[in-house]
Amino acid sequence: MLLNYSKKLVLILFGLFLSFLFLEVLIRLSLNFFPNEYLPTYGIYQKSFPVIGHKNIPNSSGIWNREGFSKVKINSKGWNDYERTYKKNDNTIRVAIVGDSFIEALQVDKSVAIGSIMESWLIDNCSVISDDHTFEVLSFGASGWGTSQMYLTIMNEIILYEPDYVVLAFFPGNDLKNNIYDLELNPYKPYFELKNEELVLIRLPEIDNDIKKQIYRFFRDNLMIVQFIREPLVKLFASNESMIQNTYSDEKSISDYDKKTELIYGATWGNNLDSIFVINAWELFESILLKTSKDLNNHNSQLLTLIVSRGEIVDYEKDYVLDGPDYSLRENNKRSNIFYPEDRLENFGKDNNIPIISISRYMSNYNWSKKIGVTKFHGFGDNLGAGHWNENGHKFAGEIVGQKICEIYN
Amino acid sequence: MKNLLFKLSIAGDLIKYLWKQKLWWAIPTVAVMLLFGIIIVVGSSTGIGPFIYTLF
Repeated sequence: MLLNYSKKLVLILFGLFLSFLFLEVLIRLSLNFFPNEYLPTYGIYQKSFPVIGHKNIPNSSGIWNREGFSKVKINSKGWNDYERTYKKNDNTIRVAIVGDSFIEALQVDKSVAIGSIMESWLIDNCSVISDDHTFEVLSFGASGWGTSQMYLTIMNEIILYEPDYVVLAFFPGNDLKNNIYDLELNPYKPYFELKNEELVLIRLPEIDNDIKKQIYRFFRDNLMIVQFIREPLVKLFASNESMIQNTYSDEKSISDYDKKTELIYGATWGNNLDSIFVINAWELFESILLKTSKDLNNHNSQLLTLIVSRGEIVDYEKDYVLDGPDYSLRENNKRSNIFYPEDRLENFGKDNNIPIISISRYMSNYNWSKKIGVTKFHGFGDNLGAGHWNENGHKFAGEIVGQKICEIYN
Repeated sequence: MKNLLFKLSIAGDLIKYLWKQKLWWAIPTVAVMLLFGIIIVVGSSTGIGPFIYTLF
């Protein structure tokens, strides 16, 4: 009897092994024949590092197909950029661009991402430098970053590359929220708070390196079946709602969370400006920006701030944006000022000698001066006009930022 | 929905058949393939925000 059960168990285990082996071989073989649009997203993961928090795992590679498409190779320092050395050549003017997923640019090939476009534009067009000098643009981006992580990365990592200019990309769509733990609920990031007008690091990133994570990572990094199955599982379970429910148990906390999220979302459209929560969020962001600028000056480097565009503003005709379906939302105080972040930061930049590059103004001027049609700078496939920059967006933004750096250098 | 239930009943019949035939090694093979297929199909049809993290 016992022997009979053991035999059954061995056969079942053998069957399990056989099925996993079959799937693993099938996936590995089929990946060579799949057209790009059918390839799943795999191979690109983040983990948490001391001080700066989460970023991409160094030397990882894979496919990004959630939005846009690219074959990704993360460099040895964990950036979606070419391999770089800390020491720069004497005849090189170095520019570092730092930001969130817009700068990480997984959606397009890195040869057409903003950093590469800036570099090509500067080399080809910035004639103010002598022939024996050149430009180099280094990209430092990671999905989900806020300004706190950008500041800590600039001062702990980017500064080692001896940049002459650092462009900090601020995305009004979520960077204010990304700085606030109560809204992010992400323990793998550092958070600052303003206390008596002083920036205080209130929370260091947790390091997600316990034994369970290590075992999971071992299987994930060595088995395609784990990578293949991870993507649908992330879609199913890694939602913001599940994070909120895991953190807050009572309805009042969830309602507070929703209220704060609503406030901060409105804040980027110039709403809720009398709310203490919104005032603090903007002041926190501006304090980090100011500190970044001062600390960079101490290292003989200059900060520029790029305000990243939002597709819902710049990718549509002016009439549609101002008087179209969203107009009713505006009437309900949903969009008091579509250029509020630009207006606010341009004034802030003037007061504090920080050059501000408002890409939205250039993109909207470009599209709104056209007689027919618009260029879509954001989105891919069926979702044009929303989401991250596509190749048009990277090219346009890269050239504008290149021009601005050239003007400043001049 | 009817179509889905019909397909699941076919899968159930197949597992019943394997059980009757005592093909113990084949039962987990079919079950794993089915589970894998369901996860891929359900996961692929779920919308995902463009700004979701790649963490973990």
